[in-house]
Amino acid sequence: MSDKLSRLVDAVGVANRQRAEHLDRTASMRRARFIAAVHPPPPPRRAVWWWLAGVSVAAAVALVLLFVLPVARLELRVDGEAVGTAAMITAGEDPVEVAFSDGTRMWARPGARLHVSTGEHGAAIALTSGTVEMSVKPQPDAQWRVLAGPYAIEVVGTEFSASWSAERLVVEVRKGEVCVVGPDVDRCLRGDERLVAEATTTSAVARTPAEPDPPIGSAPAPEPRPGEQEEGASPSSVDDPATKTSSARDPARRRPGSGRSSTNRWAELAAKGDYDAAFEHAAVGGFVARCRRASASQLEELADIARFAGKTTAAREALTLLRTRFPTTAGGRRAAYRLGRLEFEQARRYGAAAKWFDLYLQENPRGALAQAALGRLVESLDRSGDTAKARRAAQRYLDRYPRGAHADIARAVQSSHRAR
Amino acid sequence: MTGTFPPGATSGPSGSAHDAAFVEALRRRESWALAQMFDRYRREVERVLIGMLGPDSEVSDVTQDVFVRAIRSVHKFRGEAPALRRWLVQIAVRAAKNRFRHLHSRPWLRSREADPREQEPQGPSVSPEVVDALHRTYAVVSTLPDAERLVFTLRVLERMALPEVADACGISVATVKRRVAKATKKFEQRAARDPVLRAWIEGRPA
Repeated sequence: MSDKLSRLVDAVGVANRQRAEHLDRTASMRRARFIAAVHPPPPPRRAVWWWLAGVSVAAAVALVLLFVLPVARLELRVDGEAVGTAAMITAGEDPVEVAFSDGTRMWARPGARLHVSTGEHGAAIALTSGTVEMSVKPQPDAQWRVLAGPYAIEVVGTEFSASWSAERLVVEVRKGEVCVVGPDVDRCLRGDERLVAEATTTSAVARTPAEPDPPIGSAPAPEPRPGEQEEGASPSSVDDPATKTSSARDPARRRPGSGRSSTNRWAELAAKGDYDAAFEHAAVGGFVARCRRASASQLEELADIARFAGKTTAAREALTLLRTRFPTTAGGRRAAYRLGRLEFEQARRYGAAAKWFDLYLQENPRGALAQAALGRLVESLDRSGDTAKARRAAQRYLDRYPRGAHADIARAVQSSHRAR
Repeated sequence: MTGTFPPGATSGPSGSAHDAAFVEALRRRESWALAQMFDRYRREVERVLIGMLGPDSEVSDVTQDVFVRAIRSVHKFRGEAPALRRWLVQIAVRAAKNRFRHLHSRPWLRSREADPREQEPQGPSVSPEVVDALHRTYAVVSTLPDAERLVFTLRVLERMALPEVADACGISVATVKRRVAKATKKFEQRAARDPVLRAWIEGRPA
């Protein structure tokens, strides 16, 4: 390499490495997408030449039938809305119900992220994080798979839940049978059985009697609170593979402070959708202090936990820190939108909300939240009494998103201002 | 339910029995093997793609494309698991070439915005001056002929070894050397016309 270029090449290398690290953050979601794209395999090729050679007319008929009668894939309804045969689902504060046209039901617990792609007799569900519960309608040729990291859960007809977080899989079967395959795991579970597998170790598989989470809609199970130390569980015993098959020391039953760091614990609780407990764990030693030490992605997660736990002040602090510490990251820019929502929904300071939404739009004119931010900007300006700006924002919204969720509001803002 | 790790094998990359089972499981598209392939080689593929395609590219999409293509043609793969890395890098180079051609024929796509979650190539540790230099560097790189652009980015910007570049691009080491020399000369001449890049090359503050 030319020595003349070495300084420039070093700088380019630093920037490219930084970008590669940034891509690491979305790796698990992209891995799930990749697996969903190529799994399950296409049906084995049949000896096409047998009949091609003999009956070309039959081939032509088969081709016509292929186009006239396409394979019927199961249809999906997400929270009652028909979405076709595939969907990317992110459950927010409420669980999301997915109904399949064969009668199978699935619930994504709060915080769960997954991709669903249906086939003729089932679906592949790539679980990026969080928990899903399934009630699969028994069919003789059913083909249902839940993919979580390196694990595959195969189902015929059953009721079960699967959680995937921090490279750890928990499967709990209530009824029927599922089989789990992955690194060092190849076993089937029946009713009231539970399996815990950790992808980061090769032998940490535990199978214990089930204590399933309550079904969606029932009261949440009480989580251990911070400070409730489990007597006799030392950090060293937790990492001993020999102890991991003991139900008493099952990692899923460990209490706070029993060995797993609180960082992992709050993330785990958040992945399970228990934001109150996650917030309490994150607040041990001071929530703001933890936010000051956190990476950009952790800080965004902490802000979400505080928001979902209803801790508005803490959420605002986390989001403000995200803006000041990591202003150029995607999370830092999204924080502007979230701060706007806090001002709008919690504090009802519409002028301040409008400034945040406007800032988000300046920084992300074509960002994923741009449509929502512009809609909220219209509402915020309207409620704050800034009629001229509200009208301009409404026109901008209608020009860009004439059928958007805020289109009616934008039209109402325009007509009411004309009437004045 | 089909296949799993052979008894006693680890989930790590060592062990020929495990490697053979791994490649076989990839052919059967077993999810654990797909996940392992993605986890093992994603960074390497992305590193190569970022180097070749530059800051405005949709690296995550192209990475996905590389892995999907690899699995769709894994039945043709004749090597053992350690050769997978090399094979994936070759697919990544072909994908980058296709991307160049695609952008040449559809120049309006160059300004298309990437996935907002993956837009930020730079974080707080990269100064605005470096970001500026990065964009200017790739602006000059994009003026090179595709064949020279590939070897220049892999050899000069990514600092890959000559045999590795030759292998990835499917050309001889001598051809790599010749193309790198030509590309470097052109790059230096064109970069010298940019005051910011000239300052970087001359070792003084921009």
